[in-house]
Amino acid sequence: MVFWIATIIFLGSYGLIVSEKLDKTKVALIGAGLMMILKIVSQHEAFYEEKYAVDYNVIFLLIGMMIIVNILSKTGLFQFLAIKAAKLAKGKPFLILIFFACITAVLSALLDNVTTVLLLVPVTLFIADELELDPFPFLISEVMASNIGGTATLIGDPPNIMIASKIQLTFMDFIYHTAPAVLFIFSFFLLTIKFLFGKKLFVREEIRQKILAMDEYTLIKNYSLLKKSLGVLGMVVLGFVTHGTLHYEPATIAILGAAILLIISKEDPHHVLRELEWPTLFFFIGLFIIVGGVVKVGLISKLSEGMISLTNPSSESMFVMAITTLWFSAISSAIVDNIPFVASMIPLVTNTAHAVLPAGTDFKSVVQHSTLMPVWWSLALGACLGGNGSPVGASANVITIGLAEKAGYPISFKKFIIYAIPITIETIIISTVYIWLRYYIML
Amino acid sequence: MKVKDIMDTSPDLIRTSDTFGHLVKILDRVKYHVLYVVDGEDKLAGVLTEADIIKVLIPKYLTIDESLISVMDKNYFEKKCRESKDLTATEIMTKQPITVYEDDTVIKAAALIFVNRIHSLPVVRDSNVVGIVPRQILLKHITKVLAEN
Repeated sequence: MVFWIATIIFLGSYGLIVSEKLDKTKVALIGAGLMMILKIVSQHEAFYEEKYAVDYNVIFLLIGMMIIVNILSKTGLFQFLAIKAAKLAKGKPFLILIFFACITAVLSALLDNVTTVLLLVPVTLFIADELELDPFPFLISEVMASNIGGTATLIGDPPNIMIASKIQLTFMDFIYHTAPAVLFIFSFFLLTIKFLFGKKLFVREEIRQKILAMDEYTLIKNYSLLKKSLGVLGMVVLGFVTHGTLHYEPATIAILGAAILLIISKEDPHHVLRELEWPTLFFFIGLFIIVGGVVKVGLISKLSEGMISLTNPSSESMFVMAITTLWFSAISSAIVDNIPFVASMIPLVTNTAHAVLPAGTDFKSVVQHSTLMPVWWSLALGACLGGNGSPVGASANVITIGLAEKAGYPISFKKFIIYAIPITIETIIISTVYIWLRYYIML
Repeated sequence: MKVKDIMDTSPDLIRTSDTFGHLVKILDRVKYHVLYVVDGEDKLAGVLTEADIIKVLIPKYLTIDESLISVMDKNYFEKKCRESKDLTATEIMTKQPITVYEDDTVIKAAALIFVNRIHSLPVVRDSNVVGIVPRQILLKHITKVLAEN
């Protein structure tokens, strides 16, 4: 009976999130509340027991990075970089598009995707207006670049943060495994952009001169704050690079960095904290509890049995499981928010590992078994890149489309997917080749 | 007291097809600095104020990120003025304006002006504009009420 009640809460929450009939944060919190009031998971389990509880490492890593980004965004750095790039491109539209895509990808890999597009989209609209060009090629390239760039690092996209936290992967693990894939994917992506828009983007010489005449330094609002923010960000990135060796969790680094920046920047914490994405954070909290409930009643074990019979993994090879996970994650993440999907997939893959792989000395030795690792990388690549597949696949897409509409350049669902679906399929095909070559051919 | 007792019965009207250049000229001359835009059947289609004129000239991305003003072309405003010359009233006006009827109370008119932070209200009968209640008339009415006491 408890099994079915938990399953209904889980599926009901998923259904409501997909249908968008009710705000997703409200859905997650009511689902979590029901799981606890019906004692499917006790409050103690939901708050404190590692197996079922909210993953506070994820929550505090997100909070820390949100604080740092919030303060950094007040400096004008993003706008400065965009205008600087446009000038370096000598006002040539296609080169500007490529530079903007690269800036978006790098910033999305180090910071959160939503803030990146939120700050780059207005300056993109401005540049397109100055060039007297349709901003669509620029905007669609930036959205795609944001989701591709975010895939590269542990902190780039929530699925990576969740996977890393649960199975104790380090920042450098992602640099060794997903970042090379992203380099390939991004290179092909740029070629695709050239094919799609390269011939359409030309402007007259006098228009290009307008870009060259701009003074990007007027955009830096506060040099002192910029130096402090970049200093702290640099230290935090260094902290991430070394956290595995020094045995610190990423959240520790992010929270300490955020605290230092709050102190040295002299920003009012009331203002900064008020501007954090609290709905996203509570969405995570609610989802962790909902998933904790279905893990406890055994739904996830049953699903993992299904996965085992479908993909037939063994302790020697999980090739079919890895590729199935990659494509299934990509398709699901294009349709549903990738956060609930990954939150459910992590215990599913973990259960499968415990069922198939030999019992190790500890949890880490099983979930980080060399046979299983390609499955985790496939999940990360699929869930992050799949977000490109539809206008609602990732928050960056929703934000960009919203801003474009506000600025008088609406992007229809159809127009978005005409470009997004082929590009997403392309990125997943490259990911498939990467997983196959790197983990099953080259070994 | 009702709206019809205090309204000005000669509001300034223009056609939906009138152009930006024409509007700017006459907006400066009209009594309450507001024009009511009417369609071919003389039905109210929108309202046009100085704010609507300025809005046309300001790129919308500035409403998302004001900091870009510092890198904009110094002659942007003038260039945009020239480009907007042939825009029609339909493209510039605020659509679906707030209206009152002749038989509505004065307090309703005053409340709508205050709550919506507007300067005047069109008075309509079967969607035709028959009058205007601007803030100035409300003030005159207040003066009158005080004098009666």
